[in-house]
Amino acid sequence: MMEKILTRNIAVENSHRISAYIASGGYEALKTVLNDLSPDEVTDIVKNSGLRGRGGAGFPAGVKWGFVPKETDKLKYLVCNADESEPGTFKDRLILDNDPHMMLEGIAIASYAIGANTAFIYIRGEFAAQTLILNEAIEEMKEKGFLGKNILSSGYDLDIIITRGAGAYICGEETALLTSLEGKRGYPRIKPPFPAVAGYLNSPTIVNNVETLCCVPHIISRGADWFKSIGTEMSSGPKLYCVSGHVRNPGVFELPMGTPLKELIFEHAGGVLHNRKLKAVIPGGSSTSVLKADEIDIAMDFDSVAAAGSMLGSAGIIVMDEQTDMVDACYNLSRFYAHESCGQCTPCREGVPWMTMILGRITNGKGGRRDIDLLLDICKSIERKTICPFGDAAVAPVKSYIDKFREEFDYYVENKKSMVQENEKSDIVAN
Amino acid sequence: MPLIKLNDKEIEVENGARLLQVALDEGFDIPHYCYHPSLSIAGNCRMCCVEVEGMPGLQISCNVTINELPEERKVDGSYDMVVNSESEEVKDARSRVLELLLLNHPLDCPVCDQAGECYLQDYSYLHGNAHSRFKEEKRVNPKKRLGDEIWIYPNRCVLCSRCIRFCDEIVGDPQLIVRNRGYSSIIDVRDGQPIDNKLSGNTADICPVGSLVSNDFLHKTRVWNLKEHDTVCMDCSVGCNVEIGVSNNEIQRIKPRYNKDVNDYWMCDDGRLGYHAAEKVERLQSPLLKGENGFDPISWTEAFEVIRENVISKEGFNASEFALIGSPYCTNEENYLLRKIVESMSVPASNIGLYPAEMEGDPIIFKSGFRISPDKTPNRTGAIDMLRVDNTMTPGDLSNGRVSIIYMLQGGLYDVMNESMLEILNNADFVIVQSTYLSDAAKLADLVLPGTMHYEKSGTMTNDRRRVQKINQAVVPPVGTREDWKVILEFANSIGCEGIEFENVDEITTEIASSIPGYEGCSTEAVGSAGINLDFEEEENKKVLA
Repeated sequence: MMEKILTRNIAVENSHRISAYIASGGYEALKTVLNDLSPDEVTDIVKNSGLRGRGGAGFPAGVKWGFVPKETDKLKYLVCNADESEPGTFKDRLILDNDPHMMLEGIAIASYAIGANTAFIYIRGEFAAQTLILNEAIEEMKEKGFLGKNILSSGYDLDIIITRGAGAYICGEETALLTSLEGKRGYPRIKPPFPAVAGYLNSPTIVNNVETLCCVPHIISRGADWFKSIGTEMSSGPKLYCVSGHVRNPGVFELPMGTPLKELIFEHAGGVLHNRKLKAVIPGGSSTSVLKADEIDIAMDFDSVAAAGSMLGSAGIIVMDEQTDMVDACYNLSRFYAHESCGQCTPCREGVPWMTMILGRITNGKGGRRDIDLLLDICKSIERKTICPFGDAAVAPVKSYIDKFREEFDYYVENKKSMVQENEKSDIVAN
Repeated sequence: MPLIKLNDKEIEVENGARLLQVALDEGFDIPHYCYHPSLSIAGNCRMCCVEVEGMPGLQISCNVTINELPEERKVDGSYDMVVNSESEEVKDARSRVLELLLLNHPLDCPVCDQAGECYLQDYSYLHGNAHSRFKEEKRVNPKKRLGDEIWIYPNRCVLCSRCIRFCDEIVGDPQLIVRNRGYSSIIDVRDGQPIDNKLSGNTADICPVGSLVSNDFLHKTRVWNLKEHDTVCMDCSVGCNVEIGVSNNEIQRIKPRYNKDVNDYWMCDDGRLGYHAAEKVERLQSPLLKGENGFDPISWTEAFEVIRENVISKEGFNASEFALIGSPYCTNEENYLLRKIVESMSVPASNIGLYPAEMEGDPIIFKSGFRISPDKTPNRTGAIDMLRVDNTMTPGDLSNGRVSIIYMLQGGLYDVMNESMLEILNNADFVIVQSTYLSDAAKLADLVLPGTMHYEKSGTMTNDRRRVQKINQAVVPPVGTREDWKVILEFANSIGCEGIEFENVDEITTEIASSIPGYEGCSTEAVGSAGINLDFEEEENKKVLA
């Protein structure tokens, strides 16, 4: 098993305190950066490490930093996206709870690299306890001279500001996050311009996920080559996998990029609960396409999951056993997306709730034969027709569930009841 | 300059031009809701999508800017962009957006004020489907009054956010917001405070559907019953270009007409609702002669006899005792005719006045630069130019008591009498006031001639930034009245002015163009529907006056 990197401190007592973090070698990377490296050198190291964004899109972090215009008199900002709200994802929360300083050090290094003197942490509103921990951690950082004016006598100033979200899933999307950060309604913005050019208050802004930033101090301390040696060629480094659903041992597992999905489910997460058969797996958070039990023989890295027709996303793996009613599961997710659509673009605002209503009707036994094709057709009305990727995210479950479990949908509209419940009943009779 | 190909048409465009605007300018009717040329890009309706070669998927054309490409990157070696706005994929996407917009839209076109000029109606007809696949229950939200002039019918809303952006970007007072989220989104006022800015009426104009509607126009008439007339607003000296909707010879509504040099797409609520002021007065429908028991109606023939008798016959005409007072509410042509009388009868310059005087105050200037002038007279600049009076001399020089006969032109509805004017009118022997109603000045007159309201006449006016604009008759004046210019002409003839003959207003406009300094070239044709700026500055005008 791989050496623990991002989770190495988790088991340590008071791991959220700066003393514990420093004792484990924390803030050495920041010292190296401020004393010995230019911002461009830092960016290059991160580029060479192959670190890809852990928020879901997998865009190379160093390349993103490189998009910040060099010649500009505008202020630059770094934003740490801690608005973790993708269903099935709970990896950032683990870090915020247990090792906030690792993230803060990453923020400081990234800010230095892009020339930002102000960094924001946009934290999910529900993370109230984590906000308190972060506040404390920032105070500790200031006390130790890692934050504020002229950090470690390097001449570099940095201020970190925590902003709490107000409960909208969409604010995890980077442009909506920035709009929200500006104090406005959390609507995503049209790209281009990209935030690296015109982000917070129209200034160059880099938005990075918590886990992405946590990788940065380790890359600086141990080198790009070391980081590249972990994981796969195109997806390097360690990864926090969240496994939930019908497994014996749900939780966050730190393993290299490219760990086989089967290994995650059956070894680390202890296999399917009650020894039932596996039915389906969502590999990367609820907005990624579902995989059937026979499709899970894949490595969990960006490209392999994409090749299997889904996405690594946030690596929020949701396991569903044979007794899962896939139509109902689809309805459940669709309800979530209908509730969270920001309402800006016509297709998403109108289309997603429409799908939800139809799914609701089907699960109530009032579906018609044409409803399933209608659902697929509504997907076409939404897909790639919205400002942000939310529309696609809302479509992915519906499309993939119907695509892969069509017989369950057909059964529902024909028999006005769930195929699974039916089977369950017959199981009971048989036993 | 970049060259694009749009559906096989080659178009040269400015660098940085917006694709949708280019297409619209070229006559391609790319459907759209959220895009408005004077507002920021929202990109939310998704209706204006097109296929752009080399770009993935469909692009919303409102957000595509056209830039010149380096030679080697040009499409087909010569184009900076190749666009298809009519491909099957585009058509499919449009009908899909329409279907979604119509899911919850009520079928209340028969009672909707927007019907007939509704983009949802038009585009549904052109690009939509005949059948709905929506079997669920429709979303229902009650109508609500957002302010004095604005109602919202949320069920009809397509959430294009034009109204919100208008308040943010043009007014500079974000009074409208989206309340709730997603499917429950609804346009509402901020903090429960009514939308009370002076430009609020424009939000109904730019609403592409019948969601925001004007309280003034609510259920008044169907728009296809309206005859629209292009003219200029009468309620301040800015001179916003407007379109007056008339049916049954009654003004039903006034809407702004686009003029980038004057008012852009907007007008203020004062101007929009200003026409109601005329409804509140009792119009004069025949000349009135003051007798022992008040005014007696007389015929026009009698009126001009009375004039002849009092102005020239009694003791012979004495130009030094005769005064003419022009009006900044009247057209250039009407004031010019007064000037003709001055010249013909050798009336001394000190006996020419302009009333009322310029109104003091600060202009209201909005975020976009749109302004409302404190001077509520529409044609002060023009009246000054025509009468060649100094604006400040109103009618001070007339108050020395020498004046015994006064002919006062009183357009508009201004009814404030200042003391000096009161004194002048009281001291004169014979006062003729030409007014639309029995105003305070008219009450002091010996003879009152019925006048016509602004929207009842044609001619030109000059706004406070020296732009000459055409006004056009929108409604026919009441029975018994005559157009102001005809009355002035007849007045001139009745007192023996020679050489003043005009067949119609245009002839006067033409003569102004040849005889008033600075107005060269201001023929009716040249002024057109958009107006032209006078090419000489105010300083030079002063020199001419001197």
